Amino acid sequence: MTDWEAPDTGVDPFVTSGDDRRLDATTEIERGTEGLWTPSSLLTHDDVPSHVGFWKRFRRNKVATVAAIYLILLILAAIFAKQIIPQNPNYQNLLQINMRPSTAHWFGQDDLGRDVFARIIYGARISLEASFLAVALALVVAIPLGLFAGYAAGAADMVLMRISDAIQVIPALVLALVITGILGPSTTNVAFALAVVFAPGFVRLIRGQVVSVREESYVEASRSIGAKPLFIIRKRILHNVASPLIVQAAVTFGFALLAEASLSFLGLGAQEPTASWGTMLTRAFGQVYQAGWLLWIPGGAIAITVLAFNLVGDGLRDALGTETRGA
Amino acid sequence: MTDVTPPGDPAPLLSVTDLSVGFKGHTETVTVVDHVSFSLRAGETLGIVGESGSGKTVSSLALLGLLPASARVTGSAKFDGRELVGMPPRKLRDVRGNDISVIFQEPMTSLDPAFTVGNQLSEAYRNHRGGSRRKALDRAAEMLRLVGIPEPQRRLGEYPHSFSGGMRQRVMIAMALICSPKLLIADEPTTALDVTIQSQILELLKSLQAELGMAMIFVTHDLGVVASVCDAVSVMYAGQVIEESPIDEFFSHPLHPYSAGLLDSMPQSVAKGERLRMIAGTVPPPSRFPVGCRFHPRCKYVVEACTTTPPELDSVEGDRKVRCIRHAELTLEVAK
Amino acid sequence: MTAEDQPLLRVRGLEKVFPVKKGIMRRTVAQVRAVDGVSFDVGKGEILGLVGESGSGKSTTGRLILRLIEPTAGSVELEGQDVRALRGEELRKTRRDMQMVFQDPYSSLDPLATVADVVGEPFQVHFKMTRKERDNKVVELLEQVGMGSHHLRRFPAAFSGGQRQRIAVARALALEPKLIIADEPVSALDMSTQSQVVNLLLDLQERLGVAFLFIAHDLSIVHHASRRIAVMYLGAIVEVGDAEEVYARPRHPYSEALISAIPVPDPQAERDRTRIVLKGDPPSPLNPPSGCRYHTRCAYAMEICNTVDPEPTPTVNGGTVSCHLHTSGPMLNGRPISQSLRNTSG
Repeated sequence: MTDWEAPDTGVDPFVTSGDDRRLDATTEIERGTEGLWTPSSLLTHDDVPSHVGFWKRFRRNKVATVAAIYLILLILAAIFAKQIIPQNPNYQNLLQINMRPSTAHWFGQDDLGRDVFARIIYGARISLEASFLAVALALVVAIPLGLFAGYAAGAADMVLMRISDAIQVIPALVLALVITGILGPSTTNVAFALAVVFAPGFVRLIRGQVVSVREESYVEASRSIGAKPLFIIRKRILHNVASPLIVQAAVTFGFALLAEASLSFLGLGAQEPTASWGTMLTRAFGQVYQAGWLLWIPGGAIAITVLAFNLVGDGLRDALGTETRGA
Repeated sequence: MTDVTPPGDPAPLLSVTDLSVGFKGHTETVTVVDHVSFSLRAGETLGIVGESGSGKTVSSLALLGLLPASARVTGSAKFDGRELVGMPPRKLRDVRGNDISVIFQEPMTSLDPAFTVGNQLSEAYRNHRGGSRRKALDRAAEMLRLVGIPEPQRRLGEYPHSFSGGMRQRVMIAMALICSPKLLIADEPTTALDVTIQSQILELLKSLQAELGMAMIFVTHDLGVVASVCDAVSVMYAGQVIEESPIDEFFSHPLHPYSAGLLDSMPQSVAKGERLRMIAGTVPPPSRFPVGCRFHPRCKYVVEACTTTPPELDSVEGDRKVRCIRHAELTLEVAK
Repeated sequence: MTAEDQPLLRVRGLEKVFPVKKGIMRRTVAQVRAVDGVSFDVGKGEILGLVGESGSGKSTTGRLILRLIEPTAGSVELEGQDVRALRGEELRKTRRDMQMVFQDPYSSLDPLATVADVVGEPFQVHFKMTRKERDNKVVELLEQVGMGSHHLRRFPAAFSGGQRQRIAVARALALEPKLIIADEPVSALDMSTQSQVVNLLLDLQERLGVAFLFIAHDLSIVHHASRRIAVMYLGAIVEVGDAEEVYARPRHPYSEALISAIPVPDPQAERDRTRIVLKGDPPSPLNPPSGCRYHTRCAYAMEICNTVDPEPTPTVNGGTVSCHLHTSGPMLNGRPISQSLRNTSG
């Protein structure tokens, strides 16, 4: 869709109901040749460049905005954990174990009397760091490969795509498990394993986008001017591929967080006593009969954060989707 | 068409009065079609001419309730004694495809690639008329023959992709006419086609009209097409009808400066080697329609009053109408 | 032809065969002869109109000349230099002399680049310039196409179709080309803006002496803008000649039908004239007819047309026509169809 924002720009429901197939052709009015009126033609003459409209459009999505604010606060808390909670998250108070939440300890204390709130904040640091590293590594590898495969086409494309098929055949978590198993348990290794898991998806996405953008006549126009392939990729293709990539990255981030927690839960990521959401979950699992509520806190943190990443991803998609298509 | 119904004929088939369409944006409602009125008698062809953003397509879609739900349609459109504006969707669906049919610009996207042409044609028939599949298929074959598709029986079993662009448009016409509608709305039906195919389709529509006696609304931007198929023309600019006229008078002496400008900008109206005449500027978007006469920023004959007073659609010369405060004093010649 | 009146562009026997591939192994199952032996010249500062319907190969021809698509055979010479022999840097340099304006100004401008980026792109590609220098050049170019400098930082979405096409023309002018290939430059535009863009092209030709290859399906506009017209059908040029001559007295039956098909804005003339309505659809280029490629739709087809592909024969003013009517038919003296055949054979 376009600048024209009404969520109901689909054709009216009784037209698409299928009993009157020919009238589906009203969707044609959205296609926007000059001869036809299009909803987008209402506002395309606005002088506002599309990226200014981006925040406006994003903010309109209330749920995504709340999720984004939550994530920003979480990231800030993780970065400034030491300033927020000067006490050591590993400080044990064995006189107060499995304590319910109180004003002194907002999220209570675990089976070693450690402050759960402090561990959640410090744990966020580990979890977010690992996810960030995983997504960043995957992108660093995937962007050049995807651009190359999409633009060069031919044999190189074929080989790259078959390799990524081969990787994607293996279930993501199983693959990550095997790689971390081989490399040995550590946060960095988990990040590396996840990068391997994510990269093929990114390569595929970028390649697909490049293949479609490559056919646009502005790319042909650049070629006709005498621009070299690298120039075209840098100046014309990359930013037009960026939107779906950003969305995909946000969603993958959420998945990375979940996967990191899963691997830590299985003992392949961060190791006790380092606080991470996955290890906290393992620890709480041992106390399930004594203090079942301890499970809820890291579990909830994981669930809410993953959900937030997905919501932000959706919001970004809606807000960015309009740009690549232009008017 | 030459056989124009005598002007005395009392009951028009379709009579549209003060039709307005607005779209609700996030901040304001944008009026895209503003108090459009026209009427059409049985067997007559009306051309609605305009550029993009003129509201010509929206007006015709509004008649059939084919606009997105965010559209606000007001005014009246009486078809054969029934009011179309505000008619419940279910009743409107009975009218659409049955009494009023539409053909659109792009025939490929209007046909479902997953079903055979015969299937789609016969379904269109049975939706409104019921009856057996056998009978509907016979009717479909008859329609394909009527629109000049050779070997209709065989082609019924084929899928849309095996038809060429011109043939697909013929299939669309067959589908639109299968229930013998009283009114056919053709929205740029030939714009996507090559000129030689365009002339085939125009000839076909003319002969079908003569044979079946239906009325047509031809939505187009091509004045040549208007001259070859229409009896009367209604010119739209920035959401308003600015001139309405029988075609002979329209082409020999247009009344509105915009109409004259359009006719003048055709390559046929200047000698070869000369610069084409043109209308300066561009069509304003609906959110920025000028005050006063909406054409005044582009008009050669603009005077002070044009910038302040919105002109009315005045009746002149009996059956003509024009929206221009200076129409009485201007003599607009069109070069031949 | 002497060195002085050597044409700017000389195209000889240009061919493009697209393989049709199928299956996993991408085996070639058929060949489409999109452009099948096209030859023509464009003089310095001349506008040549190349007319044809969809599938005639006119747009492919334009792209072959620029080598946006590699030709299968034939030669393209720009001022005597064989464009097909150029490699790497040389090709990039020659591309400065030939620029293209595309049909759809909605897709030929990168939606995420500003006007300054779009029009300044050729400078970025070919010269080392500061942003300031580039912007100054861009402002000059915008003025040439009748647009103000305040548009510099705007995005394409802010412009109407006609304005976008002006921006695209400004980009094509940036490197001071000798030839601009305009591929349907006005067919995506509104009618009141079409004439603005046509006039702009005419002005540029006059002022800057740029030659144009004006590719279009609309014969009335091409006729108006061009000095000469070439008519293409199914990958080949069937008639070339002086624009006025071809338009008023077409010699090839296809040109005649094409001209007759254009609806004119005059209801009386529309009622009076007998339009030639061509039978059927153009044949598929996958499987072109034997002999004359037009014979399946031609009202005057003779026996020879089924088997022998007609050679171009000269008409007046250096024009040619590829039709047997002019070599072995009733029009031996090369008269236009409208004058001879229709009267005699009814």
